[in-house]
Order: sequence, then structure tokens, then C-alpha cells
Amino acid sequence: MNSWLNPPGADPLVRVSHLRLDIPVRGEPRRVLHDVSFEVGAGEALGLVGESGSGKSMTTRVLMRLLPHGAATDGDVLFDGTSVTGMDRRALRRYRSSEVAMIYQDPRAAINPVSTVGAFLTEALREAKVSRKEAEERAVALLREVGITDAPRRMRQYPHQLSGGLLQRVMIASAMLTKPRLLIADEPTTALDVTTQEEVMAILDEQRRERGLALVFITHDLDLAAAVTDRIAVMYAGTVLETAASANLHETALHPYTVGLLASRPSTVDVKRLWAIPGRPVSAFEAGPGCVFADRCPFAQDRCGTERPALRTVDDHQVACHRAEELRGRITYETGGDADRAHDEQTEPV
Amino acid sequence: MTAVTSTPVTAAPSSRLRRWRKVDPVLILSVLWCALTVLVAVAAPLLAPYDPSQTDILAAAQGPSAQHWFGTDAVGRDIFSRVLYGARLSLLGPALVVVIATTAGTTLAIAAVWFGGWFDRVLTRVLDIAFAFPPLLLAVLSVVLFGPGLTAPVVALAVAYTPYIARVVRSAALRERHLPYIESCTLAGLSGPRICVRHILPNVLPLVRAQAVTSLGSSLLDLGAISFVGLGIQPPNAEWGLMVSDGRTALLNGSPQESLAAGFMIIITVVAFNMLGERLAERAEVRA
Repeated sequence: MNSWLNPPGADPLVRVSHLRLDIPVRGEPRRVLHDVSFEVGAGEALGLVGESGSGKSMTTRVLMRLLPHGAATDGDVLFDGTSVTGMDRRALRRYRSSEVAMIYQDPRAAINPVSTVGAFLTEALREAKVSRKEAEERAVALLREVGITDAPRRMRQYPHQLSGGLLQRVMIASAMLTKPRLLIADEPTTALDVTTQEEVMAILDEQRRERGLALVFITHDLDLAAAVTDRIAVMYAGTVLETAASANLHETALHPYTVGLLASRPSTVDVKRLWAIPGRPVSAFEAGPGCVFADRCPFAQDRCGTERPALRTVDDHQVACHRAEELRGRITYETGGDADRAHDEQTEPV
Repeated sequence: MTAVTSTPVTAAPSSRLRRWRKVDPVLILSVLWCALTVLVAVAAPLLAPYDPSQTDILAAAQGPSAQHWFGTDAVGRDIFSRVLYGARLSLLGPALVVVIATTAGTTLAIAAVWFGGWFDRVLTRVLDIAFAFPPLLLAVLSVVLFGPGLTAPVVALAVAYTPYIARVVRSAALRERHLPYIESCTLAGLSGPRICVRHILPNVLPLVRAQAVTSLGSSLLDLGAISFVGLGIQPPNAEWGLMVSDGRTALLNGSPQESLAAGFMIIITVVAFNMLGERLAERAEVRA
């Protein structure tokens, strides 16, 4: 059932190319995003995966154009062919209110604590000149769709009277209310209980598929991303290092960082000591002139430290690594003995 | 040797429960007193046994008696009635000051937070400078320019109190401004004024309320002082600050009732407002 996917050759819904972002820190511009490129087709789900500080959230903030004063962007951010960074006030307001919707990490912080669920849900519709009765009916219908049974009662309650899981469902309902085309979910289950995480994810996924919404899903959970998205973009230090289909990323990961991430996940099937990527994650502004991952990469060569690799197509992936072809299928990380070692069968372990 | 001090966590009672369990006598007394003074001010004609401005030279400067509970002043007016009537002007002034200052301060603060940038910077500087003016000095200046009475000191004090309100509200509004729910309002396409009035304001309101009540107390004291030095309410009106001043001659002659009664009213009322404001502020803090 790929009917919601774009016909081949059509423009993608979202196209981000060579996005760069500087944000002033104490008057000095600081690089936050180096080179972010990805596309999201209509109805497609893209996972943005990376460590904290890798620029995932900042990327989505550019998509919504929610940037701090003095932020400077470079590169293209296109929504349905229109430049988001170039929109005037009216176009921006229309775009934000009816084309995109956002689901936040902590639903409790994302709903005004002193207004009722009903007021929260209907406000945007009322602002769009929908009658109170109709707005309330639509809100109740949506609450039922996201699995809230006593919807009319919930409408009269305040956020603090609802559990986190219920509130996140309310958020999902509110995101669907204005019938957007793109949904951005910023770690929507991180603040929730493990048991409710699954339910909320299932509802989000179901709603999205039913409505054919495109999704940008931010997470640092690779398995979760693989389960709910079509493609995954791996970010590190403000750069997209690799983009690949979610289904076979595990087997075909090309970038040493992606492979490292995959190797450092715990598994309940194959219990062993976890691999850890050496060093600490660098911020975008600390990166040198070369590959942003170079100083932690066991396979780095001289060239990697001086020349930044561009994102290019290798196999079905897009990968930013000089040695992608050369290392294809050869990267293994091993744990054991006194020291963790990385192996590339032709290179000496570092 | 216990490094870990076990805090008794009794299954975290709901905040409402905790609020009711601990009866707070200071709070109750403050609320009662404030309500009582307001009631007295409103119902003074019903409660007062005498006309507050009716003089009776034959009964002048009497001590407390069954006819005149607090005695009479130098021209024979009933002090008890004047204290009751005095609540009207004594409370009206502070109420006006607080209404004006709160409205102006809150509006300015939220606007500054919303627009940010140079508007916020300029406003913050102006408020800092305004802080340097003692309210009383500003009131005296205003009286010199516009003449004594109720209006001049009230306007001056309203101006002087605005920065106090604005500073507190600004910091609270700034905190709210950067919470995700405000961002989601922006994303929902709500207009700036609507977000400010419907979303930021309700969330800073508890703090505004606390600050307003505290200001009621201090402006009552300030206005009383202005009347005491003869720059505020003019005789023969009844106002507590003015009565303290009026009673000074009698005080030296050994009958301190007038000054004492009016002074007592000022002190207790100011303390009550302060206590109430403090408790409201504590609750606003807890909520935030």
C-alpha cells in the first residue's frame, strides 16, 4: 500500500538542501547546522536520528521558521516548492496554521495550563472563523479517533487532570485538527511512560497513514525510527551523514557513524558488552574543516581531517563519507578483551 | 551517620488537600480584616452613628463615652464615625493607584516580552531609571505642580508604582514566553495580541494579583503620609492620614484618641494587605 507515496518524478513535499544555520551566541554567530539535506515526499515518514545536540530539533525549527533573533540561514528549505525562509508574514502564518503541525516532547509544557482541553483544541479553529458548535464537534470526533472515550468530559478538563499519555493524544488530535500536510514530531514519546509510549506511537502512526500526512520524526531511538518511518536520516554535529531506507538500514549502513550507532544499541536477543563510539560527541561549531566525525572515526585518514565529504549517492543510500565504497560491508565493531576495537579488515585497528 | 536524610514523603497529597489541611491563621485574619475595611468603606453611612462632618462645639475634645465610643475631636466631631467614613477616601486612593499601576505595568511588561528587541531594552532601562525616584518624592513634586487633593498624589504614585509591577510581571512573562505552549499558539496561527491576552496574561495573573495587593498596602501608607503633611486630602474630609495629623494638638493635650484610632487603622490595614500579598506571592511561586 504505497498509494500515499509520491508518484516518481514529482516534487517532494519538503526539500531541504545544503541548509546552514548560524545562531548568535553572545553576539558571535555560532554554527549550528553545517550541511543538512533531505527530502520528504507527500505521505512519507522520515526519521531524523542523532545524539543530543546533533541539530535534529534545530532542523525542524528551521522548517517551521521558529528561529531566535539574529539567526542566519543559508541553503534552501522548500515546502511544496515554496521557500519557507522567504515567506512574508501572511504566507508564514497560513503555512504554520494550516500546512504543518507539531507534536512536542512534553505535552504538559505544550498546552496552556490554565485553559481547558476544549479551549485548547477549538481555539485555532475558532480563529479560522469556524463556529463554536462545529469546532467542538470536530474536536470531540478527533478525540474519539485518537482513542479518548469520554471525549465530552475531557473537553471540559484542564491539562493537569489528564495523564501524560492522554495529553499526548490530545496533542495528536490538535495536530490533525487543521488538516495539515506535514507533521513534525519531536521525540513525542520521550516524556511518557514506557507502557504508554507504544500506544501513543501506534495512534500517531495510524492517524498519519489514514490521512496521508508526511512526517518528520525526531528521535534518538533507531529501532523506533525504523519501525515507524520509511527513511532515516542520521545526523551528527549539524550534518546529515547518511540517509537510507529504514527497512534495511541495519544491514546496509555505510557510514562508520551509523554503523557505530547501530552497534551501540543493547539487544535482548544477542546479549553482549556494548560497543561505545570513542570520544565525546562534538558540537557543530567545534568541528574542524574536515569530516565532522573524523576525530572519532576509527577509519579516518588524512583526507578526512582536511576535506569535508559531501552527501552523495552510494547504492541506495546517501552518505557523506570519503571511504564509503571502500568500506562498504567491511565495518565491524567488536567488543571484548580489555579494549574495544574497531576492525576494518584491511586497515590496522586504531 | 546517616548521609541520607529521609524526607517523609507521604504519597504526595494533592496540592488542594495540602492547602486545606494547613489552616493559616495569618491569612484568614488578613482576608477578614481587608474584607471588613472594604465593607466599612462601602457601608459607612449605615454604620456610622453620626455625620462625620457635623461639629458640636459643646461636646468638643471629649474622651471615650457611650455616646462617642472614640470620643470627639477638637471641633466636636465623632471620631468613631470619622474613622469609619475615613475608610472611603483612605482606600479609594490606593485602589486607584493600584488599578492604574497594575494595568500600565502589566501591559508594558507583556508587550516588552512579546516584542523583545530594542523595545524591551529601552523599556527595561526606563523602568530602572524610574526605580531611582522615591514614590513619595514624586508625589510631592506632583502636588507642587498640580495642587493638593486626591488626583495629583494618586497619579504620581501610580506612575511611581508602575515599574515595580512591570519588573515582576516582565520576568514572569519572559518565562512563559519561552515555554512550548506559546510556540504552539504561534504555530496554530493565533495573533500576537491574542496570545498575549489569552495565554500569557492568565498565566502571570497570580503574580500580578500578589503584587497588586502588596502595592495596596504600601500606597495606602504613602497616601496617608502625603495627607499627613497636608499635601493630599484636605480638611474637613475624613481620611486616616489627615486624622493622624488633625489629632496632634489633642495628643499633646492628653487625649490621643483621634491620632491613635486613625494610626491604628493605617497600621493594621497595611499589615493585612502586606500579609495577604505575601501569601498570594507564595502561592504564585509554588504554581510557577
